[in-house]
Amino acid sequence: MSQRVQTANTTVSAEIYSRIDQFYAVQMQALDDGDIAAWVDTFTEDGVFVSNGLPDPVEGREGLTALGSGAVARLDEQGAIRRHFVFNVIVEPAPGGSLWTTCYVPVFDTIDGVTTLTTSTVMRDELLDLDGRLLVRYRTVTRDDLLAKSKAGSA
Amino acid sequence: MTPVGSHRGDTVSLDTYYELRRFYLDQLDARDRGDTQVWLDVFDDDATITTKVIGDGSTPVKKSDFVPQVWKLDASFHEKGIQRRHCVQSFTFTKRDDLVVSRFYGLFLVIDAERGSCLQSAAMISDVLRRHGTTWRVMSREIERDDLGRNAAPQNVPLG
Repeated sequence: MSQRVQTANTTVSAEIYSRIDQFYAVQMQALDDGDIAAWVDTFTEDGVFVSNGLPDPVEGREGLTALGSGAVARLDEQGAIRRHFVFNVIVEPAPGGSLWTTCYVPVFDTIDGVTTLTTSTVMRDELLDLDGRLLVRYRTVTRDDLLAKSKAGSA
Repeated sequence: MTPVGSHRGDTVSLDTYYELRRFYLDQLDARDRGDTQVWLDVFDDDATITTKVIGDGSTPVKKSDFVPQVWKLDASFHEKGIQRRHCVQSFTFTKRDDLVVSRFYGLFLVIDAERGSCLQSAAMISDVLRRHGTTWRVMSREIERDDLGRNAAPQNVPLG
């Protein structure tokens, strides 16, 4: 396969790009379906999740399970259906064979039949390809709404 | 050809992946342009749709029954001057013998002169597809529109 996809200042193969596209689709569908075990299974054993919406980084599958299960429980309590859409996927080869990605992830919630944009986020991942499986080793999620508040507060 | 795709189930080839992505873009472009017949033609003659938009959300509706309702629905939007945009994303494609099961998210936007652009709903769509010459045909489609609540039965991507 000689097709290449231009992303940032480098290129990755079309095969890698499409694998990553589907990886995110599977991962977000698992999360939105409330299948936290499947969602956690898309991280490495020592996977890290960092967000400006969280007080501390979450490390390891046990922590990720608690994070995901807590979010699902809160949504269930509200009667909300959540969808994470992944757009604008940029992929860059990283040193050591891993991949860096940057994506826009708007989050939509539907409550009582009304769908709204809950927040806009930027997701930055370090992905590893282990035995043919993509896994997240390090994820940083920046919520734009919280970033804007933080900037407004410091101005 | 190296297979691509998710970590669950059999994956599709890279060529098929991009072909299917284009298949969806073309059918939704037709629908949003108001070319209802082109959109209907992507369904097999005995295809079914399961959705609360047409039916109760748990009983598959046969093509012979949903075609008149689709024409009526599209005419209604046209008469009201409402432009729809079906935005699709987050595709997974899984091979099942000669068939492909697709799952993807949709965002339904409605636009009119009075209200401007509005987000109507997000949705999960699941299709069973079969090869048809150089293109594809939908054998069955399940649509779970979030604004209408989850479908009565869990999505089970029937394979006939």
